[in-house]
Amino acid sequence: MSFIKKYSLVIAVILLIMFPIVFAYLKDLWSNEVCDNFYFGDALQQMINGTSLGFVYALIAIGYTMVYGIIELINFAHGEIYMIGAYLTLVLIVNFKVPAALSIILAVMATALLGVLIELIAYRPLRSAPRLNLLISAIGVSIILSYGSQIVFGPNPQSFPIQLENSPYEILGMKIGLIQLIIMVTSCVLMMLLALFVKYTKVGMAMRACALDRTCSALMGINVNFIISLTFAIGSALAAVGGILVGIRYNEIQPTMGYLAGIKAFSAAVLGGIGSIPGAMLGGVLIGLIENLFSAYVSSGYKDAFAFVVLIMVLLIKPSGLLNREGRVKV
Amino acid sequence: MKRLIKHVVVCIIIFSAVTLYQTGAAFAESDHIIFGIGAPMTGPIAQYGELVKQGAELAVDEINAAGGVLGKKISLMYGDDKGDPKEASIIASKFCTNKDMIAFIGTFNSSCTLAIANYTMKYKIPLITYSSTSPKLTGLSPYVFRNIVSDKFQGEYLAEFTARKLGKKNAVILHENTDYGAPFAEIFKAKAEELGTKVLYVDKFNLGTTTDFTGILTKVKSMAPDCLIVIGMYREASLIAQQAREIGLDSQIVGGDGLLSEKLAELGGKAVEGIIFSGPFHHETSNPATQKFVEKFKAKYNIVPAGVTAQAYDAVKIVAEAIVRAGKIDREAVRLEISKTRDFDGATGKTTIDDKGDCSKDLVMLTVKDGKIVQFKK
Repeated sequence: MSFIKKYSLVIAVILLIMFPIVFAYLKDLWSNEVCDNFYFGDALQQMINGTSLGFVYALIAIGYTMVYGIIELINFAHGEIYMIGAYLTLVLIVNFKVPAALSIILAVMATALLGVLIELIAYRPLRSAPRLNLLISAIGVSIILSYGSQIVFGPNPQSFPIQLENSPYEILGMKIGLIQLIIMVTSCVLMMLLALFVKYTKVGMAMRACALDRTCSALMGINVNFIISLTFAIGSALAAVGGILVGIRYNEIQPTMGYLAGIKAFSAAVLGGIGSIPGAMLGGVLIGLIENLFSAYVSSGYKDAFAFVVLIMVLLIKPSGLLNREGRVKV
Repeated sequence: MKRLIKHVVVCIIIFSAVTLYQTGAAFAESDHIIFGIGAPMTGPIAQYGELVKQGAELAVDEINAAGGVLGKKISLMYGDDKGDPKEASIIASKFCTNKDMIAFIGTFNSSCTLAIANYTMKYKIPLITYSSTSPKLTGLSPYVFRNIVSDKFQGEYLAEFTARKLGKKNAVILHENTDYGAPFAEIFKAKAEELGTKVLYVDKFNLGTTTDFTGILTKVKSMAPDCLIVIGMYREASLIAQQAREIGLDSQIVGGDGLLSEKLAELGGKAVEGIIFSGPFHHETSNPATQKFVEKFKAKYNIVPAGVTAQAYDAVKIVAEAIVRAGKIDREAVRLEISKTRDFDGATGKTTIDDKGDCSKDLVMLTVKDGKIVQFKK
C-alpha cells in the first residue's frame, strides 16, 4: 500500500498513457462504429514507436540530470552536444573514410572530450559565481555550438552515412523495425551499465557523494574537479550515442536538431525529477510516449506543445518531478 | 556627476556622427543600385537561403558583366529572416530606409513575405517573391508580385492531376503548419472533393523540427488511402516516405513544389522512389532558356540548380529588365514595369504577371527514378 502511495503520480501518468490502449481494446471487443480507424494493434504499435523515441530522449536526459545533480546547472548546451556527436560520426565516415564502427567509437569519445572541454572553459571559471551567470554561459555555449556547426557542417540536412536495412520483426501483429530494436536495446544496456557504475564502483560512489554535498566530498579526499569532468564526459558520451542512433533511425541530421531534442530531454529530466538518473529514464520514455500518442490521436502539429503541457501539469502537482525525493525542489 | 555628463556628451557625438554619415551617404549620388534579397540564411531552414543566394548571384554576375542596368552595377544586400516573420520585419524596416534600394526580392516563406510586404507597401518599394506561394499575397497591394504560381493555382492543378491523371479515389493530406501548407491543403481538399476524390483525413506538422512521423503514419495506415498528399518541404517528405514504407504504408505519395530538391532522393533513398510532385522547374526541361541557365549554373557552381535557385535567378532578371524598360531608376516606374511583365522567358519557362501580382506558368510534374528527379510521364 505504501508503494502505491509513494508512486501514485507515476502510476497516474502511466494509466493516462495506457488509456488509448484500453480504449482501443474495449472498442475492438464491442466493435461499434463510433470511431473507425482505431484498433488495438495500432495503439500497441504507437506505444512501440513512442518508446523507441523515448529511449533517445532518456539518453540525452541523463546528461542533463547528472550535471544538474552535481553542479546544479541546467546545461543548455547539452542538446547541441547530441547534435555534434552525430555530425562527428558523419565527418569521420564521409571525410576521413574511417570504418563505421570505429568512427562511432571515436565520435563518442571526442564528444565526451568536448563535454569536458566545455565545462573547463565555460563553466569551471564561473563555479563560484551566482548560478544565473553559469546558466547564461550555458546558453551562450549552446548558441555558439549550434550556429558554429551551421558554418562548419553547412545548414543543409544531411543524410547519415550509416544505413541499416530496417527490416521489421513481427511480434503479436506489431512491427518493430531492426533500428528501433537497436535503439531500445542499446539505450537499455547503456543505462543499466550507468546505473551499476554509479551504484557499485568507487568513482560512482564519489559521484553520488558530490551530488549530496560538494564541499564535504572534497574534505573527504574526493577530487571534485575530476568527478565533475567525468560527469560531463559520461553525459556527453550518452548524448552522442543518442545522436548517432537518431541519425541511423531517420537517416537525416541537421545542425539545428539539438534544440528541440535538447528541450524535450530537459523536460524529460524535469518530469522524472531532475538530479535522479532513473527519473530521467522514466521521463524520457514518458515524453516519447506522450508525444507519439498525441500525434496519433489528436494532432501531429501540436505534439511538441502537448509534451510540455504534461510537464507543466506534473510540476504543478509534484514540483520535484516524478521520482525525486521531496525537499530537493530546485527547478 | 561630471563623469556622467562626459559620457552623455561622448554618446551624443558618436550618435550624431553615425547619423550624419548615414544621411550623407543617402544624399550622395551612388554608382550602383541595390536589390534587397530576403532569405533564411541561418536557422532551421537555412539550406534554402544558400540555394537562393546562388541563383541571385549568378543573375547579378551576368547582368553586371554585360554592363549593368542603365549604366549602373547591381549589388545585392542580403537580409537573413531565419524563416521567422519577426526577423523578417526587422530586416524589412532596415532595408526600406535605404534610398538606393530599388526593389526587394523575396522572401522564402509566405509568412515572412507577408511581414515584409507590410513595410514595402508603406515605403512604396516593389517586392517580388521567388518562392512564397500563399494565396494571401494575391492582390494584396500593387507593390507585391511573385514569379511563382500561387498555392491556389498549384493546389487546384495538383488536385486535378491526382483525380484525373492518377485516378485516385481517396486521399489523406499531411501539411506543414505554415502559411504555405495550411491554405494549400485547404484548396487541394476543396478541389479534390469537387472532383470526387474523398479526403479521409487532414493533419499538420511543424516545419523543420518534426523528425518522427510514425505516430500519424500508423494512424493513416489503418485508413488505407489511395494516396498520401504531403504538402511541405523535401526534408519532411523524405522522412514521411521512409517511415511510411517502414510501417508498411504503400500509398502513392504526391506532393507540391516544396519537395523539389536533389536532396529529396539523397535523404529519402529508396523510400522516395516513385513519389510524384509538381514543380516550377526541372533542369532537364527542353526549354532553351532553361538549358542556358543550367549550363551557366553548372559552370559556376558545378552542381545542378534547384527549383528555388532558378526562381531567384528569374526574379532578379525580371526586376532588372523592368528597370531597363522603365528607363530610369525610380521605384514607382519600376513597379509599373514589373506589373507589365508578359512572357518573360526565363529559367523557369515563360512567366506572365497578372493584374493581381500573381503569375501564371506551366507546372512540371516530377518523380524520383533511380535516385534522380525526372519528369513524370504516365
